[in-house]
Amino acid sequence: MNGYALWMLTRRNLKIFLKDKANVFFSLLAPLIVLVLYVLFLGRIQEDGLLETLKGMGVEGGAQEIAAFCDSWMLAGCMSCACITVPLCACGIMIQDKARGISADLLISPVAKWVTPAAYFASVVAAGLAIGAVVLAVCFVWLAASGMWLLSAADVFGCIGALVLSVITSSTLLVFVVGFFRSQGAFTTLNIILGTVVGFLIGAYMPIGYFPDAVQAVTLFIPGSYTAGLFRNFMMRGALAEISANLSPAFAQGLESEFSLTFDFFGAEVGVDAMFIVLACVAVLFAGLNVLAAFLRGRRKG
Amino acid sequence: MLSTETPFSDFGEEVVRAENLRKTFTLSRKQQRLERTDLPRKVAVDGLSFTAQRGEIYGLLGPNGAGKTTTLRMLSTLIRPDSGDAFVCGHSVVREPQKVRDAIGFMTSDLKLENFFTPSYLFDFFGAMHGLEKSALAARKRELFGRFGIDRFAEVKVRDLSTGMLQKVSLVVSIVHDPAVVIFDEPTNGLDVLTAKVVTDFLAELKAMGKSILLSTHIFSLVEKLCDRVGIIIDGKMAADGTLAEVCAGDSLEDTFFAIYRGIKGVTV
Repeated sequence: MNGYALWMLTRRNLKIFLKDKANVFFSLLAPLIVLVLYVLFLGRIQEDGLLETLKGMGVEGGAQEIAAFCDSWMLAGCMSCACITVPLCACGIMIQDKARGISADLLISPVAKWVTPAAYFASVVAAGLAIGAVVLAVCFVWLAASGMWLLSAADVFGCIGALVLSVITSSTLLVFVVGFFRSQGAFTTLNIILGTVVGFLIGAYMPIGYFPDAVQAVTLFIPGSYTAGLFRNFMMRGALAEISANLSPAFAQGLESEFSLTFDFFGAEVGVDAMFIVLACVAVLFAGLNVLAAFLRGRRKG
Repeated sequence: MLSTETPFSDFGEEVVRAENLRKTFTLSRKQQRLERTDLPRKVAVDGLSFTAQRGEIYGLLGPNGAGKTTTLRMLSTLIRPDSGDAFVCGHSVVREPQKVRDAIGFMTSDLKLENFFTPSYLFDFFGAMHGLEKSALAARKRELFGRFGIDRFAEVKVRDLSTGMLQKVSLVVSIVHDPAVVIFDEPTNGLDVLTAKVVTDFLAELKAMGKSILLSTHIFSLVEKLCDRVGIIIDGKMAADGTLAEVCAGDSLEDTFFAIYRGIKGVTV
């Protein structure tokens, strides 16, 4: 009975989220802003800057490789933002149900206490994966249509793995945080603040290397930075290899750290494997905290 | 046919028995200001005891903040009493909350329906939450939708239903699992007269179906019209309890209530 109730409740939550077109649109606002800013001026600034640097190194040409690199960087930023903002918006159902008293109806049904919070979590993950998959497909189409497809099969699977892990991680974290919210107003405030700053904090608008050292240090403690790091690695390393092979290996190496394909965590280099491990650890930590919070809430309510 | 038999013949006529229920809440600073008190805790329900009988409508009558909703929430297992216990169909709300939930339907006058779903979907959804088999659920839907005139609107989106029909859907969805006891918090609160009539007719219909009903209200006419027994709650304590005739002793319910209120609070209303 609990399994079927979990399935029905998850489906219901997902339907509510997907049927609210405005909510789906706003969940993709941050990635869309990244895209619009890039198309309007950020892309050109990045490309011109990198080509200028190459010129300074005595390397001529390379416009195609640099354009592919910058496009991949922008798309990685869009994906990383989507992995955070879509689950956040999907968490809104938890608040709606609380505000409208539906939580009480669900609590009063004879299903086990864990079913309702588990269904919220499952629907947030499902929403994140479904919309994230669409965004990822759009990214692939973008790269293919613009003739900049430099991804290997391993990169494609890497992107899918990064999507799954990132959505699970941000869902555990966000379900935990939103669990403390009571009112729609407070949740909307969180949504606006996070939607606004997330692009900066994970280096989607401009590379983290451009920020002051103190801000760079802060970003090392944001799980979204590791999400962005993974997507950059899988989406950009083909373009980076082209730059290394056709233009300058030293320049490619510089780009790798400048555009946060690897992190320097206070002297220790954080590569792809470590990024996966960090995200997995955060997911486990917040999954545990969610279970603890649900237990304590259950005890408080009696 | 709809079930008119209630599945609790093994514990006599008392479908609800509250024994010395007590519940206190911690007050935030804001709540302290609103309550005009310096005390960090508020006693919402203070040693409340009463019984509700099978097939009857029992009304908890009291002013706002008297502890009616808190009492119903304890009986519905939404919150646990600090002390005391209550038994619904013989099951303890403290020790057997799951069994209590099987036996009750908890309703409020608030509409909690997403407007892009249909009555049919919502009925199926809440049926699944109560563990009903598909065939049993389909039969129950046919019966209830037919009885309350929802069948023609079963596949119409909630946003396209009239207010009265919306209220009916909300109420029918709450009894999807055929509960023996229906608990209804402020059934007509904030409703216009036509929708309020839908609700009161629904309650009368439930009683005719053999359901036992426990409701809270501050509306005298509702108690006089529907209830077989009434409990008057003031400041979390039971001030009077019995059949309407016993409690009122020939006076109107309104006069009786204010006489009791003056006697306890010492103020003229």
